[in-house]
Amino acid sequence: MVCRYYQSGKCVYGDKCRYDHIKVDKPLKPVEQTATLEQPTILDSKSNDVDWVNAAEFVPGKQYSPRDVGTYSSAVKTGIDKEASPSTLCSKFDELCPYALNGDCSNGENCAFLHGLMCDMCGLNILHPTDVKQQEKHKEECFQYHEEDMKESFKIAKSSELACGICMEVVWEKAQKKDRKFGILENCNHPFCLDCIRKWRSAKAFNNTVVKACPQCRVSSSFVTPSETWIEDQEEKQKLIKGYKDHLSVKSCKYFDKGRGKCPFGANCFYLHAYPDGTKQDRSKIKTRTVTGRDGRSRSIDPNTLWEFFEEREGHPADQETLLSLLQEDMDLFDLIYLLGDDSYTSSDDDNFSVDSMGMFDLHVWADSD
Amino acid sequence: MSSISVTRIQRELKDIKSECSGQNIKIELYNDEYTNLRGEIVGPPETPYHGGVFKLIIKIPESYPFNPPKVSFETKIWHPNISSVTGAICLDILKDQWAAALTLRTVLLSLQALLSDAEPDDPQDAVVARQFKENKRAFLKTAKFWAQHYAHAPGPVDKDCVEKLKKATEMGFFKDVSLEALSKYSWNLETAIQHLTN
Repeated sequence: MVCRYYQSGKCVYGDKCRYDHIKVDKPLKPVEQTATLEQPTILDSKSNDVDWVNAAEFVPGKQYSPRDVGTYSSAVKTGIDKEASPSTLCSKFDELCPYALNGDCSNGENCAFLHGLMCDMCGLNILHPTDVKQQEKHKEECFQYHEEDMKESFKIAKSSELACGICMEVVWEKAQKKDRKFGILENCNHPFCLDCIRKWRSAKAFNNTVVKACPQCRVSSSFVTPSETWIEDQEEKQKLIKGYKDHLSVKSCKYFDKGRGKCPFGANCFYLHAYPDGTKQDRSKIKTRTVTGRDGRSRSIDPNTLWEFFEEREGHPADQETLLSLLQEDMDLFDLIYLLGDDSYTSSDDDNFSVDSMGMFDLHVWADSD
Repeated sequence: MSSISVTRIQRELKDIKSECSGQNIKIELYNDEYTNLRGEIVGPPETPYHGGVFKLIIKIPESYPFNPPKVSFETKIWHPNISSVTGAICLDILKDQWAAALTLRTVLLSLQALLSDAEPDDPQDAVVARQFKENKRAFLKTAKFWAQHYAHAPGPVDKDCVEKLKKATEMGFFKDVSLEALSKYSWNLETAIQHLTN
């Protein structure tokens, strides 16, 4: 990474600097206010004294906040953003003293850099003393950020007090940290912990239509999406579901096995069906298989049913008996042997998936993940 | 017993104490293991069971709440969907229509609703169901007399019933057996006695 202080000719670390001291040929653009401020610079600043999400009044009894999770991807993203816009290098923001930004510049009034005025919202000395445009722009940004943060805080506050309709425990207060996840149903808004709803949906004693229905309202949903926070808003839920599917769709399907095997879920499989050369299987050509059952009637295999089964089996790996009974009903012997051969199809890290605070998708691998 | 069923029963019992004061239902532990409970429901108004206190035996399976509790009537009751002999209940939510979010409280409330609204086409006790459909007057009379006799329902007792029951017992038959026979034959003393002597 190129040292940006060296770029502007004033890196105090000199030879000891961790960044590359090389001159970039790219001509620097003339200073543009907007270019500077399009970067929500404040978002990157980890100033602890104004961490709204952690303000005690917003998060009673919370266990942890997703914002605290410094993800690799977000860290990388920040770096890219900075590099991608060289115009920031000599923007007016850089004229502001970076130490004074947090209020601890030891040079005080003798500092060679500008000391910004304090922003009421974020508490940083970030307002350029003379540039009114910059001030307004920052305040607007700050306000937007604050609003987003409030939304996020309420979401967290709500998540932290919701109880699972099955075990009746508050999901975020479950004994095991890994159990503190919601299993979100597609077609209704009743909260359950991931483990409970999966267990219910794989209950053997009942008809498929009973267990695939929400235990509270009996509205049917075809799959469960894991989420760290409670998501109710339809738009956000669709985003979550899409993200979950996207996340799975880049993982190679072990049954399809790059064209060598065949996947019982066919066109409905959430995993990637690609050949070794990278071309994807044309799913429109996959036919729904029909099998003839022991009763002589032929019926089509519902890929959803099977998909569900594996999705749920993740949490209950020893459940081969159900697998057998299910398969004997719906599948021929080849598939039976085929499926039993691989028990590690779904991995638990597929659950470690969430929407980050800005509504962007992010794959979190949590420190406490199993 | 799995911890989830224990913690859920504990939670439910706690909630029941705060929620069910006005609902004429009661649930309490029968042993310390949270597997056996006793419930009580009061017969709803405008039914022959009005004011009667019906005791229930509740058994919690280890897989609760993923499987329904086993509930049966300890107090004898005359109802098309409840066995007059064993107290077994025919109610969909206790069988194939169970949902993990249902609780003991909602089950007992459903049983109360069942007392108000019988389903004679899906009977547990065929004799009672036939009487319900063919001789509603006799059914109401019997159900009320049973509620008064077994569940201490208030109100004046049907003199005809008392008399016929007395006659049957005077002939040397046990009271419960006599009542069952009389009820089965819609309070026709002769056929009931005939049935008892055979």
